[in-house]
Amino acid sequence: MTTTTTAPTPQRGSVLELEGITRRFGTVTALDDVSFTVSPGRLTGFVGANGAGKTTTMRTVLGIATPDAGEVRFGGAPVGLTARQSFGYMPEERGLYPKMPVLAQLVFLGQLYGLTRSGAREAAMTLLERVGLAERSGDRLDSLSLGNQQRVQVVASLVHDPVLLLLDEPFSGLDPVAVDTLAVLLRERAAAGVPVLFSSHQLELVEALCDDVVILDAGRVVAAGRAGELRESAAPHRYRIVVEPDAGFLRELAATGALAGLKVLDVDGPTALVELGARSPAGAAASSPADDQALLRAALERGPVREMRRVVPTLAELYREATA
Amino acid sequence: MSTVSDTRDATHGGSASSPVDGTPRSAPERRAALTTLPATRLVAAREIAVKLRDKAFLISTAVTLAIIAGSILVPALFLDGGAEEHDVAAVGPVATAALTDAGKGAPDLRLTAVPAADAVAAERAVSSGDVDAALLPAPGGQDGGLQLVADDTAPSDLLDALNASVQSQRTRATLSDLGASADQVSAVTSAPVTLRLLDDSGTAQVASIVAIVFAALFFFTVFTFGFQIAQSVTEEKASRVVELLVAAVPIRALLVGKVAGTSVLAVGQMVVLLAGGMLALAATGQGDLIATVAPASGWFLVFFLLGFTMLSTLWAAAGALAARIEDLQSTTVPMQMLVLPPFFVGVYVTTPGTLLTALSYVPFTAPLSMPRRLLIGDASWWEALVSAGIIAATTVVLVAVASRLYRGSLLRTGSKSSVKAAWAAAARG
Repeated sequence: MTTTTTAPTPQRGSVLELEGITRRFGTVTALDDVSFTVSPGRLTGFVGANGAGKTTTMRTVLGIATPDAGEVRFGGAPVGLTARQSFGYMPEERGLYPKMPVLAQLVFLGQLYGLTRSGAREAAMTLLERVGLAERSGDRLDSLSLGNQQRVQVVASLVHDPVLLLLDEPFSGLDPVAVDTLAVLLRERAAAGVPVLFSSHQLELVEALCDDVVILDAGRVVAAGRAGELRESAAPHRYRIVVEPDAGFLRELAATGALAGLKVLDVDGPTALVELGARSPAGAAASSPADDQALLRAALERGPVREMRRVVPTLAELYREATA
Repeated sequence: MSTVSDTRDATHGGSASSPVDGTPRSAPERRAALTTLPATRLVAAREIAVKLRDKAFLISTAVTLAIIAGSILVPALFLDGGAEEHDVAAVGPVATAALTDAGKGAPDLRLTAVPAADAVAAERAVSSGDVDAALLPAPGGQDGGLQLVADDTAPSDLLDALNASVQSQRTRATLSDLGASADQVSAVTSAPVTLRLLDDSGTAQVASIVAIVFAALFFFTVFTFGFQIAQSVTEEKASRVVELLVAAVPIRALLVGKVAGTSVLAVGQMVVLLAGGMLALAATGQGDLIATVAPASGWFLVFFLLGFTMLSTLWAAAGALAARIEDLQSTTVPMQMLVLPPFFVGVYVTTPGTLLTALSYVPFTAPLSMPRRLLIGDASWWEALVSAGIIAATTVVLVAVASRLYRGSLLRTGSKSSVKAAWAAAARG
């Protein structure tokens, strides 16, 4: 993580910081004190219900929407036009010129982002080859299938080798192969030191892809951080335990209070789901690390233990909990 | 669902089989940050490039050019300068000489004498339609009398011309025989009534024609290209590409670039049409008209460009207010109000006076009224510069207004925006 002072040209490897972004539309507060960071080299998933403010947040970073309060910084410096020209953006409602040939408009956009004509042309062709559209470069955009138009849109956000990538629902409408291609492209950009922020409704996809997660609910950030840590800290410690022959004894154990904080959620023959103490959402440990070992010992006293493992909530469960 | 392990790696394993080679790409050649001026140029260049590839635009330009050239060439082809052609069989030297004289005396007749051996042969030629008429020595008359023979219609213009010519010859001959001097002869035979045009320079007429032609071209161009600007803005808005653009380019650069690109196209088309018209004039031997029109066209072109640019900024704003192409019908109404009345005023108020002078300084009528004044010598060059300055200043103000409306309405993609709403939306960013 680098903290550069005000630099004339935005560099790769910089952090995107949003601090206290507030935006109102009339009486509606679309964004309420939104603060989070997007780190270089990491994919950050941006989740939230429709209308939670994801698009407005991205537009604010891009200067398309102006916040009523707060600041967006990249590499420590407030984001201006120069910085924005080096950002890559894929709007939720896809936008390119339908009647313009594919390559021509990519070159135009590349030039607007500050590339030379030949540089833009070369970069566009390289990317078109990667998404398998090199032969269609001279065709009008609207003669391409919707999936292929989507690929061109991806290329448009990458053509100028951006130092920051903001993608609004980039995976919606993509077929599985295209999802994989895009995932690889994004990973690659991240590996090159680019902070990547993308929103998605597909929580499984975000969970599978992202290093970090920001959860937005009604204009407020309700969770932000490393995806794994968030998932672990958000829910109380749960364990699945498989014993022989029957896990019913755990209910008795919980009733006696021999194991502090033990709560049996479900018993199904030899399998049980239990909860040991709880952690506050902030992540501060409320249960002692010995609890799971005590549980294991107690179970072993009654018979063989075939399996015992921690159950971490999925991102979807975390999301439901955080936005409840 | 109970698996704790990170599923990311599994997904990644899957994506490794995707058809991507994964070679890292070198950073594309980058310039320094793009400032407003080059951004404006890029936007303008795209506008021009797209239009030049647009078949509808090319075809409509070609059709207009064909209409202009055709309206000059076709009448010339058919009327051939108004001259009527007659092939006349002439029997004997007297008839041949009379035909030659009559041809000289009547410029709108083109007479061709076809020698015939005798009256019978000549009459046969008339009957068969080989010639329009035959001119024979009058039967029985030895005093040089002639007879015009036609098939079934009397060629009265030919007869009149022959009579006038022969009568004049006879008068001259008779006067000479009577001993009159050459001066006396000419005094008697020259036309007694001559014609004098109060304005024989033709400037006023040409000025009127040039003014009307330019007013019509201006009107036509402002409407077609203005609508194209509005449409192009609306298309960017409707296709959402504008969201990519405003992230990277100042809104003013977008607006000015669009207007500049379209102005270049409009003036280019105008020059092509004018050149086509002038070539057609030259081809039909009306080249002297070009010499009169060309110098006058200069000022009109200058004011055309200024006026067009000024109005274009408003068309762009009208385009931004629309959410879909269909909305343009209503959002461009104010533009039509700004174009139509000045057009009629420009066409009808043409006589020098306070009104014309005033109109030549009002930004919306000046593009037509000031060149008109210059053409008829009613204004001097510095007045033209002042008027041009007023139009340019108005353009700067309108760019600011239009930029604000543009900004305030570009992301309101749901429905068309009112001027008020767009103005207010822009106030807050």
